[in-house]
Amino acid sequence: MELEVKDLTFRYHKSQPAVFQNFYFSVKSEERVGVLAPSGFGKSTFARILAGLEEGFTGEILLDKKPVSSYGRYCPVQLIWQHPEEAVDPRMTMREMLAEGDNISRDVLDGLGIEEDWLKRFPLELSGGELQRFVIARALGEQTRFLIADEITAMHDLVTQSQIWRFLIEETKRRKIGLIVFSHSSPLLEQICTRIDDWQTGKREDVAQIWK
Amino acid sequence: MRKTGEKERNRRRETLVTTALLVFFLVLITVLGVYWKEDALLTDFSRKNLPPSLRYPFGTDFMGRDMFKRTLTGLSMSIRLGVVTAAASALLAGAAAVLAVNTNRAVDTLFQGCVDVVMGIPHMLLLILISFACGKGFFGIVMGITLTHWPSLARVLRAEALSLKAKPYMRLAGKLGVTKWALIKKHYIPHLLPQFFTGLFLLFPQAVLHEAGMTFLGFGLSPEEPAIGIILSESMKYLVMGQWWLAVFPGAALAATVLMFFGLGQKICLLIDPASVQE
Repeated sequence: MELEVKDLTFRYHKSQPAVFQNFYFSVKSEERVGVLAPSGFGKSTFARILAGLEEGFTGEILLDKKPVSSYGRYCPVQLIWQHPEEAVDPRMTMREMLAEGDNISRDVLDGLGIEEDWLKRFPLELSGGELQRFVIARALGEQTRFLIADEITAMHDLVTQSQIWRFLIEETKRRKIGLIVFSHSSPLLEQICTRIDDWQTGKREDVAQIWK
Repeated sequence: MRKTGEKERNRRRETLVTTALLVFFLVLITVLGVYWKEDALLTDFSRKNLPPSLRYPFGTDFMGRDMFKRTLTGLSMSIRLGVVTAAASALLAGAAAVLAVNTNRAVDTLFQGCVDVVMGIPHMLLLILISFACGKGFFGIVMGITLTHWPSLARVLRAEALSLKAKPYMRLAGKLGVTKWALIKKHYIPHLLPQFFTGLFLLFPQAVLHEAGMTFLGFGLSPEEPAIGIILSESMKYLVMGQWWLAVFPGAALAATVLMFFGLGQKICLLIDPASVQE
């Protein structure tokens, strides 16, 4: 499958300059694309547009030549929100929130190191790192075709970071899910991705992979 | 550390005990009022115009009716009316607010227009008009109070729902395939509930006082009913003759009931809010 952005123009307010102007972008299912850009370049904005969470843009977001919005209620392009505590309803338990979305396999929960015990807790009773794993798991429903990770491991220690990335790479490979990673850390992207788009220099390069 | 912990636990228990006591008193008044309804209507000219005594704590009136029982019956009526009208208008407010936020802009504009119109007209005037149009009596009052008291709460709930709608987890839930109805049921309602109950309990005193006021002015319950408004308006004629007990006791009882509702509202707010529930 292919996720394409065609001729995207977006501005937050009519009077403001465009964040994106006639922008093109595309990812294939078997790719892991890293977007490298410093703060303020519109990484998070772009991530939200891809996942259908932003309105008021012109241009098209297509999944296999069809608008993403035409794929039914569950959006096949899922975003892992940057701040996990904002992405969960403080009045619902983890289990209730998992039940709301698409079917999540037990392997996903195990792979991310989510313990059964966490599921009956409320968000306030979990740490930021634990919540983050939960938010990642929730985005990996059966119908997910593309996964967008917006600076998702900044809050983890290195061991946890590598555990999470290892799992995500394996899972996306196995299920042929396209992965788009936004980050301002070039070493991280070089390790994870098959392609890096550097928005600052406008370069696009294929990278030798460590985790094949 | 330990000391403050114990102190906080005590406050929670205190709040629970006060809440239970207030509920007990309000229920007691309601039940006694219903139980004494016949007695309250009983006239006995051999005991008319008696000042307060042990046998008749609130005295008797010009027809020899026991004012204590009459007051309780009136209060009982006021409480029942207050519960029905406050609940109805709070539900109306909640439904209107959730609908305004979750449908389209036209519905929202219509909602705001209704709020402005109802709030723009003086409460008492609108109350009298609606009650009169609905044929006065119990039904007229219920309709009047319900249709005039929802806007302020609805406005608060709408603002709350709007801020909720903008939260990332609400938008993400939509993309996870949660339907609009499930979103309302599982996300909006739990979040709006504390505000809803606060508003509900603040509506009680208003509803009770407005009922008494309307009845006093003659646009509410019919004169045969032993309602506080009727009692107070009847007592007007006898006040100048020195029969102070006819107005003072029912008036004070009404004020006390309203304050009880108010206190109950505050305690319940403390218990509902997760930030203060463990205090």
